[in-house]
Amino acid sequence: MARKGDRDRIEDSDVEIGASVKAKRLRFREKPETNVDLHGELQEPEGSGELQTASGSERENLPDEVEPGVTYRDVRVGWRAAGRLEEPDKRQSE
Amino acid sequence: MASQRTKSRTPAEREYESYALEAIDDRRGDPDVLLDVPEVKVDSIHLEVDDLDAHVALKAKVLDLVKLNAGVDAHLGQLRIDLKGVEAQALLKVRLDRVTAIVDRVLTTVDRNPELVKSLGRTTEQVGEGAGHALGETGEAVEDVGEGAEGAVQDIGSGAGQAVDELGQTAGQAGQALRQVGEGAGEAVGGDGGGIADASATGIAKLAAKIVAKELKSVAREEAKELGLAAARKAKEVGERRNERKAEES
Repeated sequence: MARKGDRDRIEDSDVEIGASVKAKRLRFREKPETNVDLHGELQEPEGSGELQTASGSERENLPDEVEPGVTYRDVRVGWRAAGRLEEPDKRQSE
Repeated sequence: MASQRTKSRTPAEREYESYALEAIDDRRGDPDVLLDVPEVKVDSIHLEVDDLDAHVALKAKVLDLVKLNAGVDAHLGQLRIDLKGVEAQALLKVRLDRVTAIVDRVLTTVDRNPELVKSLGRTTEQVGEGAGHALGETGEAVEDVGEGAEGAVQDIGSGAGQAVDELGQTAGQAGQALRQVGEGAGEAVGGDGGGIADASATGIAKLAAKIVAKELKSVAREEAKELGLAAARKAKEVGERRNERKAEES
């Protein structure tokens, strides 16, 4: 998860979505297939801008690669994705 | 639950402070749009998901000057899980101040350069695009028609523009011919007064050529404009008819 102070953390995000789940017991019957895509574009007379993005998750008592059929206990998962518009004039001045 | 910024905090905003991702540093204050599911408690969940897509996007558009799109697409291909003793939270935040600043900057640019809007509205290309946008709202099939129409309008506009050039050239040639006639007339007068007669005849010929060229260009421009508008109207009619047929079929 991109946390405070992380290099990939987005400050001043324009769009942000997140979720967290805590569970006493968690069991995956199959290995999950997931995909997250962040996208963005900005077109204005001064030029084109881009979307700076970051996403990540933090886990407690849950490995990065889960095993089907295994029961995980006292699990906590937090996920967040955020995007910030990079304006053309700011990019040029940087 | 979506809430807008208020002076007194809503229960959702108070809950938000204890949100699991509290490390997020809100330097810009409260968001403009807040979708908050502060707490959901369920004893047991058996969840099966196949191909779930979630899209969240922030979009803004001002004329054809600014296009802004920022979003997140999440895809869950397959998920089968059992959870017991569940507590869940979810959050969506959107801030519009930067978008507002971008739009404000563009409007300031337009305000300081009103000819920008005039030029946008004047060209037949823009008429075609306008028809395309109007059709785009009525469905994909109609949008295709609109695109075709847009291309047709551009072609017509381009053809008309070329015609204007050609007419201008023709007018130029006519002017040259008139000038030659004037020169011939001057030469025909001859004698001591020939110089004066030559100069005045050439001047009249040039003036006549200019007037003729101006008139021809003006007429051609009006024709081009009419063609563009007619094509846009036609495109819209076709789109509407297509949309009506589609509605009847469904």
